[in-house]
Amino acid sequence: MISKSKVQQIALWVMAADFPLLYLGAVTFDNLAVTIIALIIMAAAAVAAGIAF
Amino acid sequence: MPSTGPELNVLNVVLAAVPIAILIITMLVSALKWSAPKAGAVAWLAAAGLALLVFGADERVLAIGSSKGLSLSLFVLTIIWTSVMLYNVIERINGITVIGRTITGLVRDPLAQALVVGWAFSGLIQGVAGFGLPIAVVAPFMVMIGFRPATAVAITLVGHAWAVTFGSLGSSYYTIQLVSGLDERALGVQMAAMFVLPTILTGFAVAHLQGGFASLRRGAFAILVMGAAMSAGLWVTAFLGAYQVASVVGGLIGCVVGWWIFRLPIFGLSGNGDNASPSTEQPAGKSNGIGFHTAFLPYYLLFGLSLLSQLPPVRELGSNPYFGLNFPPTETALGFPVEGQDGYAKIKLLNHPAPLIVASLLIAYVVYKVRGHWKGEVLRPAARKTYEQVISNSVGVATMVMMALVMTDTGMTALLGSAIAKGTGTLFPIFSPYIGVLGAFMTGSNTNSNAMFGALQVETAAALGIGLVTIAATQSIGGSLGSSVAMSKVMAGTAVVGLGGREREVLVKTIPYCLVLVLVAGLQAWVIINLLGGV
Repeated sequence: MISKSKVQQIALWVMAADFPLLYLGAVTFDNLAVTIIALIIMAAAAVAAGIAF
Repeated sequence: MPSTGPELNVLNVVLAAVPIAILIITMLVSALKWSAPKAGAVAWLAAAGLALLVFGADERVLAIGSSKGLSLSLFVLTIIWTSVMLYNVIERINGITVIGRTITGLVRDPLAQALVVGWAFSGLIQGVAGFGLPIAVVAPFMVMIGFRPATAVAITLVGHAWAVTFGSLGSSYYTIQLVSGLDERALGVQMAAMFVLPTILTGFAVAHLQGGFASLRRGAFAILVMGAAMSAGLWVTAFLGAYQVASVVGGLIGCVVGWWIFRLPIFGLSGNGDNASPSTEQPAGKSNGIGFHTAFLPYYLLFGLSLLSQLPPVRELGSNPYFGLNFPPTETALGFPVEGQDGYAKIKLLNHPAPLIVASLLIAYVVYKVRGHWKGEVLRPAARKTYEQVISNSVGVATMVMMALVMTDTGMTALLGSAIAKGTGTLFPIFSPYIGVLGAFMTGSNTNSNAMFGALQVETAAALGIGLVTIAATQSIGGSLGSSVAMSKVMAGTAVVGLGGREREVLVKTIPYCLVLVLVAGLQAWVIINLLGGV
């Protein structure tokens, strides 16, 4: 069973790692698929944060 | 009022308010007591869902709004990370104990400490650097001298709020002047005059936070003298056209007058220890060989470097190397446009607190190493402790600022501002500063609040045929006082004093003062417009 503290850290690092993807998808490449994937990842990290904190 | 974007109706206004309501209710209702990252995450999800389903955003608008939020978060978080690290390093070399003992030996009365440090000195730091630095530096400093962490953060948040508009080298003032298009001198001088009452009242609020009504009564005369001197300094400096240093002058005068006044025995507030807490009875001096000035060295350096960074040649030199992303213009399906921005939320090499804090730490490291204070492992345990302390706040800041920017870029925030403006009619001057508070609460910045709502406020005042200068000034005063409840600043404070995840303890202290102070600012505007014929 993964600890709450670990999930908190994972949520933070996933958000940090998703930042460039979000920017690249929406601005640099203006690519719909990359943007949607980045948003889904961010939403998943937010859900994890909502549960773990 | 926005001519494009979501229609102004009750349903849209209620839906636009949902993310903010989630934040406030979940964090403040005692049955829930959610932490900031939990509330922020849910509020961002709600804002994103509403943006897509109701307010006409597509995935690109949502992604760009969220990216802007993360850029702005990085601007704030780098200050939090570096200042927490600085504090932990000083703690590892036993400097915190020395600083606390020495300062409490100089000014032992807790009320004097709260007013001189939490009110005047925090305003001075805001004037010099701003951008959250007063919270990052003064809150832990107050913990060092014996204040409880939540009280220390609350005092600093309320205490520095008078200095925000003319702080950070006048960035908030210049923003409201630019977006309103009003005459620089007319706006600056009237705004400085309108800050007299809020400035003095923040002093009373700090005294009340420190020791309740007993401190209010005991400190009333000293607060009036200090407040009058600080306000006079701020106004005269603005009158002379030096808006960028008005808070510096006010804060400096406050420190000097405060230090002097609390030494007068007639006030019964002598700094000789009549009211000293037991922890301050220990002798001042050295601990494990480190003296006060050596322990305090990083903060001396930070203050000196902050001053140095404001010199025009250094400012110019340090402005170019920066981190800041470019964002293209966007428009929602409902026609709400957002202009493109280059170098958004720039982190400039010499004009942002984080690089200055790192430089202070590096110079202090050399001195500590040479003098033999840097013994054993310091950096690694301090870094580990910093990492553990900032996880909660980092997620909290990131999610809340993402929520704020998604709301801004989809017209939800403008809709809320318009609703307040349209719904209040002739009472608009009373509610006008609350719009400023809304902007500061969401973005953590008086400058952003002015950029977001300045034009709306002036347009509303013009439509109502009331004083444009007074309303523009009131917007900025609201944004300034709203800094006491701005979530990113609250989280910066809780991180540096080790209260991460317990933001509610601070917010329940600061919100009542903020609401009262802003109400006074609104009533002041109403009186100026309706009874004094203010422009």
